[in-house]
Amino acid sequence: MQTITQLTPAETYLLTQGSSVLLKDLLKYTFIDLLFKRVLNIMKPTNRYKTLSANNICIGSQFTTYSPRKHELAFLEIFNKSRDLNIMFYQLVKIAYQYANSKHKFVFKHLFNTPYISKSLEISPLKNLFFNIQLTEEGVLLKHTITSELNELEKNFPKLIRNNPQESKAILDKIKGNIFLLKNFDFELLKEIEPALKKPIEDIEDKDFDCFYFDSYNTFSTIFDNDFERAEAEENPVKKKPQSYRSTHRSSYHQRGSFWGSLWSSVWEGLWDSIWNSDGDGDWGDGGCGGCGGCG
Amino acid sequence: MTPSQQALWKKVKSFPLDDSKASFSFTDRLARENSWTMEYSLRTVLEYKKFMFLICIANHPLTPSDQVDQVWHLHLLYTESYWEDFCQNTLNRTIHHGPTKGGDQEKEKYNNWYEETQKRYIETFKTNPPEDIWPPSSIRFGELNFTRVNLHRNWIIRKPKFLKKWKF
Repeated sequence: MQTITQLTPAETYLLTQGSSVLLKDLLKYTFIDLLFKRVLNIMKPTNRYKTLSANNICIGSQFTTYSPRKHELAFLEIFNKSRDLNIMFYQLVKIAYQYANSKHKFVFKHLFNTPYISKSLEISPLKNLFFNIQLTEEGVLLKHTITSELNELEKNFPKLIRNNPQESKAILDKIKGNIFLLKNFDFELLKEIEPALKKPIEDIEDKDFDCFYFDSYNTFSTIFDNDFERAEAEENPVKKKPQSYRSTHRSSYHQRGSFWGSLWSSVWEGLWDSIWNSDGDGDWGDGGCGGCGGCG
Repeated sequence: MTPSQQALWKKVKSFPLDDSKASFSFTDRLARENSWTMEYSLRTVLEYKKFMFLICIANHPLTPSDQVDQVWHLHLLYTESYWEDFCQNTLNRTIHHGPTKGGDQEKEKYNNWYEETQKRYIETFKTNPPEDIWPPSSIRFGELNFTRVNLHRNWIIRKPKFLKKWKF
């Protein structure tokens, strides 16, 4: 279990899935990993709207001491600038989407900076342009190791939770968000060993207890996906599709299942980012009237 | 901050501007109308709250940055939220918005108020105001040349840096 403890789930996911990764999942795994690391907290809404989208996110107890990797800044940069903020879940998803800008940019500009990823991916401008990820020899070995470790976890971890909760908690503390990469794992079991999954913070001033309360991982995942698609539709009107299209054709649309699908996504994301290179970093176009003064 | 100021700041900071049930919230609108990112918009909303809090505890007039002013303008459009929920029930006072009457004297007056506001900000929050939201006076009052543009009919192209000081 040595290797995946060194990787964030987004890195593990990229190394194991290669070109078929989805930006939505890269961001989702990154976010949930930051919750497990107590860098961020989900607070239960204090108002009457009790949906996860409306829950506020604030900094967790480990925020000040944590050294984030570049791709994690998608969720952390705003709190570096204003630690006081508590942000609604759907707003933070949108911030992360705007930071990532595209899958191409997120992988090659942000994820690529980490040591494990930079030595594992082939650098080829043409292949990168069309998001055709190829692993180096070292990358292939790493992928093999990671896959074995994940398979072993998938096989043994549920039993370990029942038989030895203390040891399983120790493992969970090491692998953190990587746990959500397991394919056939009942995530409800985590509530038996992770107290932070149970109790929500009722008040922002109560920072003594970290929590990332949500009903279930599936609920969290579905709401994250919806909020991501909302952000995507708002940012890219060209990509906007009716809800029914998106829900029924999501795989082919995002996963480059067909030639035309892959060509469309590659040309759109690759060309736009590589040639036009729109940076999208915190631009602020001024607008409105000028010359207003304050009141007395 | 005195204990009563701390209590007021807590109330102001947690004042909800976004209706989480709305599919197009206050911050969404702010971001769209100013072409700001969500991150920038949320930080500007926090600065707006700080500014309104400063008004409540200051005994002299204050002037916001243009960015903070945009949040104020938008909040004023949500009349119930602004006058009832915010002014009446949270701040316990009314805060009117007064545009400049124009002229050099007014310009100088607002310039001084703006610098006073930044000083007061540092004294109260023990930190410098973020420069991307609270720019220096030279930019705050030197780059006021805005207009509404119909984006259905026009493109906006950024001026090269060396042409920025020219007003054509």
